[in-house]
Amino acid sequence: MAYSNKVVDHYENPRNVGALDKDDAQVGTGMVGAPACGDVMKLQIKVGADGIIQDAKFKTYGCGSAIASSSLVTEWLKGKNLDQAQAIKNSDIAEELELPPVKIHCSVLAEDAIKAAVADYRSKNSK
Amino acid sequence: MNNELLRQNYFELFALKQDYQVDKHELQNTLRRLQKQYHPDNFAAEDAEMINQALVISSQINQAYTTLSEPLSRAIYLLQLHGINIDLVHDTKFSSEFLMAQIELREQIAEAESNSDFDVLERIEQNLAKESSALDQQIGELFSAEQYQKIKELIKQLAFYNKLEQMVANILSSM
Repeated sequence: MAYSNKVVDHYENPRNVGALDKDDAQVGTGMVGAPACGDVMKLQIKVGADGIIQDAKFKTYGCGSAIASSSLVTEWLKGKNLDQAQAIKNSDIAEELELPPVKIHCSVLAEDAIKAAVADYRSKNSK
Repeated sequence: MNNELLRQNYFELFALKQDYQVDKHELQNTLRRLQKQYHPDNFAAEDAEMINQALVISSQINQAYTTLSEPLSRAIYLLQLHGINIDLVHDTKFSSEFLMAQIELREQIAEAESNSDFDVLERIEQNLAKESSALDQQIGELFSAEQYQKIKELIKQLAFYNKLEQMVANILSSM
């Protein structure tokens, strides 16, 4: 199966790999896993006082499409507010990366990781 | 030929009790018997429809065998027969403890691979096999106790361990 150029680009030069301090109140951490392929994805966002995402980092163990999906969303997340972040759909990711049908689940994983990270941030800051 | 076969579930097709525990030898013996009985060559003298039916049944027999022989696919299938579907693609929620452990395992594997550390990889492989067989046993107990919803979580975890086992086996065989 051939990967699109965009997937290859993100796979070879992944953006924003790394970690943020998960104990920081400004940081939301989302972890998800895809049992079908054994992929694990950790996505973190750092939210400013103005409610805008300042930084995003990821660590993904999985195939090229899973890495590309998480790399892409870290780029998209910066500068967005939480509602805009949650509005990112897996179909947007799949379309941007031209994922073939068998790899759509990688974009599902990235969407779920965003939702989990936002939920973590919100639960930390609702108290 | 018997059309009934196509309406039978995999356990019925293999004349097995509908249960998570299956006797591997019995499964293999039945496979050989059924393959022989429904081999399309046996129907070469029949009309096209018969031959076609034999082909369909043959592939059904193989599919049934593949499904029933592996704990993961057998558990998923048996759960389905109890009316519970499991979606390994879209069900991405796990406890963070489980996912952290998965990430740690991945890191250990990656490190051992880059160091070409055969011993560490073999040890990881043994540990993974232990985890899988513990899950296999728990799944069996939960099926006996008819606690089907709880089985779902364990199946998802077993899928992860199976993938990792495959991964480590591939690394080891390429070393």
